[in-house]
Amino acid sequence: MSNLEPSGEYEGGLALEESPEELLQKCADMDDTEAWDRFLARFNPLIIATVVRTIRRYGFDRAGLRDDLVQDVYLKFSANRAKVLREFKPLYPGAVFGYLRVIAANVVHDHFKSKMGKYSDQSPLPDNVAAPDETEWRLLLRDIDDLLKKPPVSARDRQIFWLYYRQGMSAKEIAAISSLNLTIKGVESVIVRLNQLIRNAFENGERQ
Amino acid sequence: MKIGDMSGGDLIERLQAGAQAHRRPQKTRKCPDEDTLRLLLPGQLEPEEADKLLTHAAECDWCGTVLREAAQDLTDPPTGEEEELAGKARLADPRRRRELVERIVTRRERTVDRWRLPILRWWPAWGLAAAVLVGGVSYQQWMRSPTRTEGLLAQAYTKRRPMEMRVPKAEWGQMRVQMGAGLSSSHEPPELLDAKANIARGIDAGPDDPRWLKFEGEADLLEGREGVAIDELERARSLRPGDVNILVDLGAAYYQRAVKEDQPESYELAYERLSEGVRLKPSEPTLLFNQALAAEHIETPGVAQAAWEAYLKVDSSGGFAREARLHLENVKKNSSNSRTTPPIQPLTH
Repeated sequence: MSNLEPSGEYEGGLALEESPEELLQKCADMDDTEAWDRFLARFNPLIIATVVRTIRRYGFDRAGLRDDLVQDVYLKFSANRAKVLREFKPLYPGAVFGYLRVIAANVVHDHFKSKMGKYSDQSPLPDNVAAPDETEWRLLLRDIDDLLKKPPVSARDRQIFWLYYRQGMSAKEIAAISSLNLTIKGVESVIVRLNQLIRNAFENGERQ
Repeated sequence: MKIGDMSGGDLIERLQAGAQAHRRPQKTRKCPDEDTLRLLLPGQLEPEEADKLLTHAAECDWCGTVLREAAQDLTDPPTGEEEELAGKARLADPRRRRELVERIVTRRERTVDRWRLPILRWWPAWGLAAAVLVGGVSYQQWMRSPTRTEGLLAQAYTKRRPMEMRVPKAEWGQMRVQMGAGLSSSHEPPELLDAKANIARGIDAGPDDPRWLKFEGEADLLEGREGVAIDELERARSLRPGDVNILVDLGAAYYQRAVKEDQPESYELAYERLSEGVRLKPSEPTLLFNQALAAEHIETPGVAQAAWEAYLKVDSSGGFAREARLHLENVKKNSSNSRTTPPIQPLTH
């Protein structure tokens, strides 16, 4: 289950007569003013907060820009006869919140990409350990990857391992990837298991 | 559970340290679209595609970073401060939300209504028949092309200039003040009618094509419907943010709304959009002219004076230059006064 679902206050204090998914479907028809009213009342704080957070990644925090981009998000929702809303797949309860946040963040990223010609700064990972020589490190990477490509390691577990150790994602961040369908504990368990497997293989001299 | 405690000790530390030190986030041809990559988070991709993207992101420093940053931004619920900012945003005002909703739904209705018009429903067939009659499709294509449509709108502006602000590619024309919200079709220049027919076809073929949205907005602006024009042009801008011609029209639309509805904040929006355009294309006369007009309402006389002088450096002859000189003189007269200068009557012949 995704961590992208916000807390209850984003229900806008409305009586939940309709699920968020039903509301999205009504808005996708593009002729129901009342549904769009409810959509904005319900999702607007979440959209604004997402826009604010994403803008700050680029070092900006100006009210005018914020408001413009929030409006752009709604135009994106309604563009092409609400294509974005029509394409939403309600795979699990609450998926709609994460979906709308991603669309909102994408609008902001696209805005800055068009201005700057590139993605945001690609922040570096914390650097607090003495680094090995690159050739040595690449050999180690290859040896470990060879191990992870063999049974009993699944393709999914290999992905998780590298997202954690190479891309520096936390277990919480990896668990937010809904297609992996894992909790934070589940991700941690995969990491621990693969650690053990690698350690055993290297200790037994299969790798060095 | 603390993974570090159970790691393979030195081996894993070397692995992590190397990942930090030798990180090279560089986008390659193999990298997927970043917007699609982020859709991994809410699980909106087909399993096969998701698997392919995850395998790539796990090994690619560029995509891995995109995914990591997206997860960081989107995993945690909004903070108290973000909620507070949300409460102060423009759309926190229910009245503004209602306006936006009306624009969204009205836009849909307009598109549908246009398609329901019999003349437009049958237009593709008529167009094809005409093309056959004249012996080639290329002429028809040109008649309906964006380039010609842009020219038609410019000619319509020059023939019956409805506002002081300029529109892209248009020559100077005598200004005619409109009465009421818009022109009746019997008073519209034929160029505008032709342009509108092209625009209707263009929008029906591609409701989100920023070129046609831009023309649609400009046509509405020429007809005195700046509220609708703002909606269309903002949509075009969101689809093509770096297009200075969209920013010219958008600035003009906000300016017209400010003039008609006495909305000071619309002058600011006009100035903001036009300045954005000037940053992208500093020597574009149309942008400079419109920016100087907007500056008179929100900036000090000194800034407005500098803006008019900047315009006259790139355009020193012709009707627009004469107007610019009149504005400049007026601004200079008022320069001792800190209040904004009143707009002057445009030059008419």
